[in-house]
Amino acid sequence: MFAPKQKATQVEAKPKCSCAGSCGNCSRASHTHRSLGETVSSRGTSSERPVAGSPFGYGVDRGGGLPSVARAEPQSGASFRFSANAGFRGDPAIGTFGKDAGAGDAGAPASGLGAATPAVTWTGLDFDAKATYTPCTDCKDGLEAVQVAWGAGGPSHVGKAKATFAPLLQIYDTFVDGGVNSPGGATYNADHPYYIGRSDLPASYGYKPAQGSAGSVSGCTVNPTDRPTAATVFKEAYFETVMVCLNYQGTGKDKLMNAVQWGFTDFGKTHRVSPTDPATAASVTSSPSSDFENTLKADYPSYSHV
Amino acid sequence: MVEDAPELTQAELIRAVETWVERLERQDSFSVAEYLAFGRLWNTTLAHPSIGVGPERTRFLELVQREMPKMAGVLKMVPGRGFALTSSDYDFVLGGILDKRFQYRIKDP
Repeated sequence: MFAPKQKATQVEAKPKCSCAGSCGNCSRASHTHRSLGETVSSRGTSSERPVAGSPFGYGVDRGGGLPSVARAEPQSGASFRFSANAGFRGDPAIGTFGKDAGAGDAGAPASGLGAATPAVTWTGLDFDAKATYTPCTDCKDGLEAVQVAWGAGGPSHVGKAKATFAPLLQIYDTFVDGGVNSPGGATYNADHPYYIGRSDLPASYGYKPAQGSAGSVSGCTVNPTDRPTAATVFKEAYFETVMVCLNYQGTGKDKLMNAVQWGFTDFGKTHRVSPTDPATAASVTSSPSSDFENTLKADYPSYSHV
Repeated sequence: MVEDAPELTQAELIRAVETWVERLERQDSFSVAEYLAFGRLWNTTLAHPSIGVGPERTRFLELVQREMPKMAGVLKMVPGRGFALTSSDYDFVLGGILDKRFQYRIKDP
């Protein structure tokens, strides 16, 4: 049952209690507020409490990844770090460049776009990917990211496109996150499917500041972040986050670079890379999957990239 | 307005997390205002990972995640940007891009 509709202004006043509402009395129009400093816990101190084994996987360790590796592996059961366990996922024939064509390959001519392996921290619902492409002078408008989401078994449909992951029969709703068919609305106008949100881009990109920024871009470092809480109301939710070089070599087209695949089953309780990959550690590849390309094409049929 | 966001000191945030852990572990029923309060605290905790690092913080994040399906029903939340639970009725987003409007403002960052 839903609670009666209530105006935000009415409920927003209550958390101004300095206890963050935790005293249980903040819903009263007037109450004697017990300051947090006076709160007495019947339990031991924080340090005495064991960390319960949990399917949610939140951890204290937020360390990033190590370079030159491609799969995040669980460590200590809660947080995830990279280890040398690469593995190209997806069809290398699909996409704009093959698995051997990544910038910075040994023997490749010097270019204005360096190679990178995104460092991924993925703890519970908290996702953070960071990659530094040095140099990045080929990216005339700098860096961005595009994120595609797939969901199934939720309370409602999301996006407009549908997808399947052969040989599985499950049908997923899919959309470019922060795109034209995203349930949260588009971050940019026209053919700009980008996820992060940069106010410093040329006006032609049409950034909508009210959408906020899902991470950051600083120089040659791109850092998309997310906490997809709606994964807790979907039986399955998957994501692919792709690093983008904007206006590659001034061609007016973007270059799609590394992809990170991550997701959840069991209503956000269990990490799983994709419907067809049960790995619980994020998968990093040198280019997007065909599934990503399909959704990008469905939502942005006029968007092209090199 | 971000400037209007409720304020907490770091110490208050840590104590609030501890108190909410206690309540969430008791599996109390919660009012709309309480869901919004600990939801806002969850956002703040994730946005400030260096504050209150320890098992209580971890436990709080887990317990709130456990409550999310119920919270989604009570607050009429649907997926929004970043696949974040979003309530237009209560003008609140849990997680996603961690908009500062939906966090506590730390008085002594």
